[in-house]
Amino acid sequence: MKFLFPLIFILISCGDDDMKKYSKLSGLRILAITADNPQINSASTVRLTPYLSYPEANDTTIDISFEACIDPGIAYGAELDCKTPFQTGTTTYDTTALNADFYTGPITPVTPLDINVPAASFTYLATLNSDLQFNGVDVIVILTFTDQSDSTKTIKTFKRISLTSKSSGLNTNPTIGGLIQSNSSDLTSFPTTTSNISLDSPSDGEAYQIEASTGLTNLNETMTISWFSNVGEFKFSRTDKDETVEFDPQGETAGVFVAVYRDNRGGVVVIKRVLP
Amino acid sequence: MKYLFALIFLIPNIYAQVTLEGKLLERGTRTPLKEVNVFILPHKLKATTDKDGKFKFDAVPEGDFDFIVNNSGYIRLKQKKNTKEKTYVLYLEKEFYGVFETTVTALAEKKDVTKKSLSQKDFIKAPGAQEDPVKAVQNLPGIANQSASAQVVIQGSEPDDTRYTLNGHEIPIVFHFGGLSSIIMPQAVESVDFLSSGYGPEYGRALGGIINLQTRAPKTDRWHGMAFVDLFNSGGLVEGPIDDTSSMFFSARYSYIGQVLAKVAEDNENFNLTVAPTFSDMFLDYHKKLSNNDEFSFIAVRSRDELQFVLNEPVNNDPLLRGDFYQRTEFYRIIPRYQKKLSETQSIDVSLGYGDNDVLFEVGDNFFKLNSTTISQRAELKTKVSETYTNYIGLDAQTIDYSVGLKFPRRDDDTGASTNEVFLTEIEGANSQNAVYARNQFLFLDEKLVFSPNLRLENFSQTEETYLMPRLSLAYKVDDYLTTTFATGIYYQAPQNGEATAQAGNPNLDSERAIHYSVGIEKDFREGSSNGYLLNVDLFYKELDQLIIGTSATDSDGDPLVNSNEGTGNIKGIQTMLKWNYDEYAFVGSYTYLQSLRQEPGKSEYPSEFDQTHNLNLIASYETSRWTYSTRIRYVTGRPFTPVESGVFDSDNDVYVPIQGGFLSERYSDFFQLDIRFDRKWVYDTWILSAYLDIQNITNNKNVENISYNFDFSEEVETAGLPILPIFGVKGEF
Repeated sequence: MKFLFPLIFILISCGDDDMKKYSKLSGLRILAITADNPQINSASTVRLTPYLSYPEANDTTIDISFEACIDPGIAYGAELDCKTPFQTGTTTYDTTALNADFYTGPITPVTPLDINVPAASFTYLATLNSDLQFNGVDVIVILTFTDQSDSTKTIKTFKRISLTSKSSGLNTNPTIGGLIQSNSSDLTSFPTTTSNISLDSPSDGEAYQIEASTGLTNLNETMTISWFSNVGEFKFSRTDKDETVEFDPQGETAGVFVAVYRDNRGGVVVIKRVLP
Repeated sequence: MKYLFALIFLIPNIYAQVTLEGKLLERGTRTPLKEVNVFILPHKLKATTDKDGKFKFDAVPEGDFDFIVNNSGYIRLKQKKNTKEKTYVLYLEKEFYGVFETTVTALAEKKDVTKKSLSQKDFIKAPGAQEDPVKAVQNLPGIANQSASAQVVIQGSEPDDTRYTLNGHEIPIVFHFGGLSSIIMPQAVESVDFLSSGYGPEYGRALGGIINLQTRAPKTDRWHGMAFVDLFNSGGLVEGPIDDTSSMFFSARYSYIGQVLAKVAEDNENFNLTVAPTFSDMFLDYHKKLSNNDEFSFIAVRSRDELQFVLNEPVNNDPLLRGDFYQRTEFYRIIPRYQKKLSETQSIDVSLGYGDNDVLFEVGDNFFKLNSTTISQRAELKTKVSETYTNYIGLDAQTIDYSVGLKFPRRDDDTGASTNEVFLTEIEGANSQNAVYARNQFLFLDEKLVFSPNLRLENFSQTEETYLMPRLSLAYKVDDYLTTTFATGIYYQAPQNGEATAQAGNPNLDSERAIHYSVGIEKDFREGSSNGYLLNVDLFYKELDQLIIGTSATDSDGDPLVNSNEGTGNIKGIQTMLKWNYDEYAFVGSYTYLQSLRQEPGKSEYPSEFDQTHNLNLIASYETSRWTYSTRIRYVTGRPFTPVESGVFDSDNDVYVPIQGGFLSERYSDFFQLDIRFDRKWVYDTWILSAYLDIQNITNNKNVENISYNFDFSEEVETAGLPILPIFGVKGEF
């Protein structure tokens, strides 16, 4: 119980207006990485698409390197490192294509980020207990992005691809119909006053099963939305599926909005609006 | 002739005498002053007050006269009166008044050679402690700075290695929210005891030490009261006799610290206080003297802390930790106690503790809740076997029924991968820690040597262990003014905070263990004088093993162990305290040097998180008849911490994973604080008004308590402790 007191102290001290805000787009960032198949049950190729934001990019080129391996147990404290990667590679991306979009959007590198999950990974999976085979293990892909014109601008991120022995009911990415302003109209113009924004027709979380210690357990995905803009301010940086979020334009009249809609199993979809 | 007749007629009137009665009381406190001479001038009459302060003059010539009272330590009283009044109340004013005058403290029996105690008069006027007994303990050597938390760190041990007790019965906390105030009003506390390395067999379950609040008996002479108000809180107390054999004490306090914090936070857009944090406490003490040989007492204490606000930005970037924040910590205890003198050589002291702890912590939909019911029993039979041997046999037992509910996001699940899964569990259980102990106190060498071989036998139901813990203390009086001490012992502490539960920890854990050694000297340079020096020096060493540490290892089934008993460590240091007083001047200096190291498999030895090498406290005060000026300087080496060098974006969970630098490789900047305090008293016949100004951190030094990072760990900001903080308060007592 005693730990609560320092925790409260940390909570109270956590709001610092001078620090970079999560929802405010600035600097080199990856907002999400989509996988065309977030969960697979046999050796196959999975295409990754990073979602880049770099408002200060100024038509630069981004160097991308990556390595893929079986998750060493990050959740248990293992270091984020691929000691024996089954695939490595490098590629580049010219940000000029995103100039009109405040350098924010999905990127397609010169060499697409296709991860070839080998049969050996499934051979390894087959050696595990049946519950682990069913629930699956992850392949992690560690990616590093570096601005060619300024090597100090570098970021590291990782994406999971879930491997399972399930024959059906594999995870798929969620879907979104669009962005809605004030619960009624499509967000087609830049909100000049404080407005409520939400997702249009976000897909429901999928039902899935895990093999728990108590037996086969039915669960539903937990869905969350992350909100970003290069101007103005969102009241919350993250909301639940059907929640609206308040946006204050703070006198601005143009900008880019991004919403990232995730399930809790690696499924993700991104929507962007460049307004007015 | 007719003039002569008139003269004869008047003579009886000129020499008429009357009887006068009165009472002599101390001004302000109304304490009866006994055995004090009261004079009537110019008639040169004298009367002496009895035990109730009463005096009587049988033959006072009628007319004007002067009451004259001269008494050592009091201002001379001279009051012009007339015999038309037949009864008087005289108030004699003291030259010096203590800070809280209506209290009389008694010295508790000191069994432990390493025990340090602060009496009420010590802690109430300690600068920077805001009259708080536990905060004043920070002035003692061996206590590290934890200004922003509610924890007391003893001699480089972990905060959880300190146990808090109220009259020997365990309580969950001693401080209210943020360490601002202890959970009982200072006036109810007779002394606060600090038991560190080598403490005796009466206590256990703490590798570091014990902080015990010892309450005092209510006053029986008359009814007393006190009320106060200051920047943070206000409250009051009443105490007095109910009848010839019983008395009671009741105090209550309410804090409006929340409103103060809200004012501070009103410009911070990320931190909106929707409901102000509050704390309150109540304390009741009832004593009844059943006969000359036995006494019954009953204590009830209740403490509640509550805090609620809306957190707009997620905590540590976790998407699920935002929204409404609510925290509540509440507990109560009732402690009936019976003491009986069985014979001239034997006495018994039995007490029972019963109460609930209730902790609730919510962030959005996530929560941690703990409800527990505690029953504790203490009993001690003291037998003076001979003039040189005293034996104490005791029981120290405690049973806790608990229920823990937890719902939080976690990043592990049955697949072994990081996910947004919610960790939801309910744990119910009970555990007990039952101990019996024996203290043997032998006096040798004309009572110059006190030799105490002691034993404690304890069963821990949680870990299914039973340990025999020998403890030994020696005190040798070289002469009347020089004493040397030695103490050693073995101590066990059961796993805490769910470390040994199947749901959140490792059910196969053992208790942690420490072996303490302490050697000390105490030299009184005053040698009978009221002015001079008193020096205390202690060397201490603690060997730690079976420490519980986190582990990434798995059991034979491949399930994570979560934690193990593979940690070891040692703490060594020296602590000194020098007291000096010269008439109205006083000085207390305490200094601790320590090294607290830990070791884990696969890691080289590293400083513990509470390795604070130097700890210096200097206190000085000057008293006049109505003013007290005091100051305190504190300097403490900064604590080690593990820096975060960068963050890696976990794109599936939308969080940044911190990439840490060297483990505990950096230290926060050193802590420095200068406090000053002014106390002023106005003494009236039947009551005393006090006012104080306590200015903490008068240099406004930025003492770093924590480092906060932004969402991707690319920016950091140092969070400082209290800025300059003037606290003004007034208090009235009768």
